[in-house]
Amino acid sequence: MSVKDEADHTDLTAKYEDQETTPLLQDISLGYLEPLSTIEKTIHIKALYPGTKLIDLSLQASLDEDVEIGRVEEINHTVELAIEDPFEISSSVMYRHSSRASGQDGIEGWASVMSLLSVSGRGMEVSSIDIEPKACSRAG
Amino acid sequence: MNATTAFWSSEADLGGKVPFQISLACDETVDISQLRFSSVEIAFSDDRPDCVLKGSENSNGDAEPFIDLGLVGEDEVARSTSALLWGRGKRVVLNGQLQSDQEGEIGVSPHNIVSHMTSDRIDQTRLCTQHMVPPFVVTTAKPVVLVYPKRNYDSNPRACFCCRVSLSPYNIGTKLKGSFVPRPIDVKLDTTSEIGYVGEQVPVVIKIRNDDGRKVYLRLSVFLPPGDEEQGQ
Repeated sequence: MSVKDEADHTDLTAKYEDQETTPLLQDISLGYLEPLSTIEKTIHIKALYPGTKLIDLSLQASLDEDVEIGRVEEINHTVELAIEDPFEISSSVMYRHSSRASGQDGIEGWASVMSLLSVSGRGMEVSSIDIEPKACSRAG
Repeated sequence: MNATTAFWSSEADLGGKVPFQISLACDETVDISQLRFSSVEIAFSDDRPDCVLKGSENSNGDAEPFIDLGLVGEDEVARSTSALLWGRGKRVVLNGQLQSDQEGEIGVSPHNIVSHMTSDRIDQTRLCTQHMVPPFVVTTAKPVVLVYPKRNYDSNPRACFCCRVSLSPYNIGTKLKGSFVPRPIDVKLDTTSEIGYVGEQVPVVIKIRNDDGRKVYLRLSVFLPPGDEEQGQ
């Protein structure tokens, strides 16, 4: 599989300022950095699936903007990023049957549905929950 | 005359300056105190122009013991000093600095010590030149080259007499070479990130620190390799 084919399989998208692309953000110019000074830049990564994501950073440092002049140093760094599903939901159903007949068609019953919504990782504010009953065909 | 060259360090960073010294000393057994030199030419093994130090024609007395040449080889502007005269056993130290933006070795050596004599000093000059060959001691296997122009001063008493002493550049045993070597650029990269959720923009903060003494230009590339297929890919 070629590098391009492999790269095409990533579910990640990288965004820096107004550039958003996948799988490669190439040669972002960060300008000159004075001696003994520090800069901070932020890239944003979006993933479509949970898992441990690896992001390869390559920093080129040169003494001149023209990389053909002088020495060029390349610093490679891999970021390990944990991506999780925001919620985990587990449900259970408990049925209760009524003792009295519900007419000619059958018996009347109730079902209690219990859903446990849990959040792993950092806290999250849940603004609303929608419960949508779905009709299913009656067996028999 | 003994010529020795020494660098203060054998290696320097690209773009850095390397101090060096050239010592020109007259042998104690020889009297060349009447031989006024007009210039000292310093040659380099790369293509930079010679550094020329011109002695004053008017001042007397021995040459200054220490002469600062500054950054040499960058221009063809001649330096000037007081008289280039050596008494018995006198030593003149030329201090200079070399700089290079390219990797490689550079040799430096005194190339020519030139004397121009006017004819009214010819008798003195002749006297001196009789003693010249043995006193000009150069630590090299090759003999010192003395270049005498046509002696036409008998027919024209005001003609100029030129004595050029070549110290055989780059073949002097005392020649040293300084190496300019690239120094790795000292830049640190660190990142911080937190757990992210599917579908959200997760910030990755990249912190870059320039621990180098030089201003550094930065380019960043981000590559997103394919994920683990067992985790949904």
